[in-house]
Amino acid sequence: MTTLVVNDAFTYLDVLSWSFEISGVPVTFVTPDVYLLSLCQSYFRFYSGSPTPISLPPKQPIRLYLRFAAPSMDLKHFIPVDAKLLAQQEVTTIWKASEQERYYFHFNFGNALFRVEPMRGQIVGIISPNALRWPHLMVNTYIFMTLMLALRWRGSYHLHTAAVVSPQQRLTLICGGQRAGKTTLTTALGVAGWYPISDDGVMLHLTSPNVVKVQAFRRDFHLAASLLRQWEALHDLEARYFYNDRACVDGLTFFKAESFASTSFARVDQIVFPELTGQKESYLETVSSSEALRYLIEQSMFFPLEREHTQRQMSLLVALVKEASCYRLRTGTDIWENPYRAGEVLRNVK
Amino acid sequence: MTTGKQQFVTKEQASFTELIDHQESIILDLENLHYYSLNAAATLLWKHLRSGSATTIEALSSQLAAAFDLSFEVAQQDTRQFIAELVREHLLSETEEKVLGRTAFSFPSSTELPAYEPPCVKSSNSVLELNLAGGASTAASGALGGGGT
Repeated sequence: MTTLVVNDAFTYLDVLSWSFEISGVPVTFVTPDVYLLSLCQSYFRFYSGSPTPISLPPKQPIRLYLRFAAPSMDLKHFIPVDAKLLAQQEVTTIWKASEQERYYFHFNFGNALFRVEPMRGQIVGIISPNALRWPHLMVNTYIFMTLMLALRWRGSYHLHTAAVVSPQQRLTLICGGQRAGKTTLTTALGVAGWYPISDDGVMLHLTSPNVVKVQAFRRDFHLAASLLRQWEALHDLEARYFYNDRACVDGLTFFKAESFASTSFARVDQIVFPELTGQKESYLETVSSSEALRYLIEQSMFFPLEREHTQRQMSLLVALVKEASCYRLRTGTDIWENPYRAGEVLRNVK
Repeated sequence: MTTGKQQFVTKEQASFTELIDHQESIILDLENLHYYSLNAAATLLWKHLRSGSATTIEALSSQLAAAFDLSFEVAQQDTRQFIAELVREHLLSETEEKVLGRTAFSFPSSTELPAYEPPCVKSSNSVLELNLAGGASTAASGALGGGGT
C-alpha cells in the first residue's frame, strides 16, 4: 500500500494556488500544474471576486491539493486495505478509512483518486494524465463531488435542483431526477423573463437555528444542444463547449441572473417537480409535503452519509417544504413548442 | 395477538417531524433510513406513543375516538391495525417497563383536525440505498450521479 501524504507530494514542488469562497467557506486549490488550476478557475469562475455576504460565522477553510500521478502509479493502492466500501457505481467507488481519531473518504474514479479528510477540510486528488481526455468530467464530477463532501462537514449541503427567481422575486426550485426536464423548464422560464440561477444545484445551510438559507450553486448551465436550435431566443447563446449531447453555456450572464445567483434566499416559495408526459398541455398538481420531502431526500447529495449530517440535512429539507407550496408539473409538449408557456403555467402557482 | 393492556414504546432512532400541524408527518428511521409518511390519525397516535401520554391500545383508542368523535369500537379496531403495522415495521415494540415520554407535543382540538381517515403509515424503500451523489448532475452521470440534466 502506498501512503498518501500531502507533504510528499507538495513540499518540494513549485505550487500555484487560487482561493474563493463558497457558502461562506474559504476554498483554496493548490497544484503545481497551471492547466489543472485553469480548469478549476474556469469552472468556479462565478465564485471569484468578492465573497458573497451571507452573515455566517467564519468557517474553517477547505484546501484541495491536485497533482498528476506518475504513469506507472496504480491509484487503487492508495486506498487502505482496511477501508470500507460505501458505494459503487460503474467504475467509481467510495471508501471510508479510519486512522486513530481521523477518518478519510477515498473516491476512486478509475483514472483519478481523491482522498477527503472532512474534519480537516483537506482534499487530495491524484490524477492520471489520461483523465485529461475528459477535463469537464474531472472538474464537474471529481472535484465537484469531493468538494461537496467536504462542505457537508462545514454545514453546507448540496441539493440537486434547478432554481429560478420569478419577476416578482420569488424563488422556485425545480427538482427532479435525470431527464425530468429541469433544465428545459428552467431555460424556458429564462426565455419567459424569469431569472434562472442554477440548472442543477443549490447549497443549503443554517444561519441560525431553524433558519435555512438557499444559494445557487453557480456554474455553467448544461443545456440539451437541441434546445439552442429549438428556441429562437437562444440563438445568440454561445456554447462554451459541448459535453455529450449537452452544450455548456453561461446561462447566468445570458439571463442577467448573476445578482440573484449570488443572493442568499431565506425562503423558497414553491417547489416544482417536473415530469414529462408527452401530452399536449402542461398542468400543475399539488404534492403532499411528505411526498415532496421524499423527493428532496432523493436528490440530496450524500444524504445517507454520517447520521449527524443526515439529521441536519433532513431538518433543512423539512424547513423548505414547510414554507413552500409543492407541485408536480406534468410537462407537456406545449412548453417545448413555446417556452413562454412555462411562465404562464407557473404564474398560476399560489 | 395484542391485548388492550399491553404497553408499546417507540423506537428511539425514529426521527419524527410534523410537516403540517396535526395533519401530516413523517418518520425517518435513522437506523436503516426507512422513510414513512403518516396521515392525521396516525400522527395523533404516534405523538401519544412518543410522548408517553397513551401507550396501550385501550388508551390510544380512547384518544383517537375523542379526537375524531368516533365510536370506541371503530377507534379500537383502527388503532389495533395501526399498532400491528408499526410493530411489523419495527418502529414500535412491546415493553413491560414504564414508558417514559421522549418528546412533548401539542395536541389538536377537534376543529384543527381534518375529516377522519383510519390511521395510515406509508413506507418507502430505505433511502440508505440512494446514490450517495443524490442524483446530482455530475458528468459521470452513472458514476454515482444519475442526474445528467
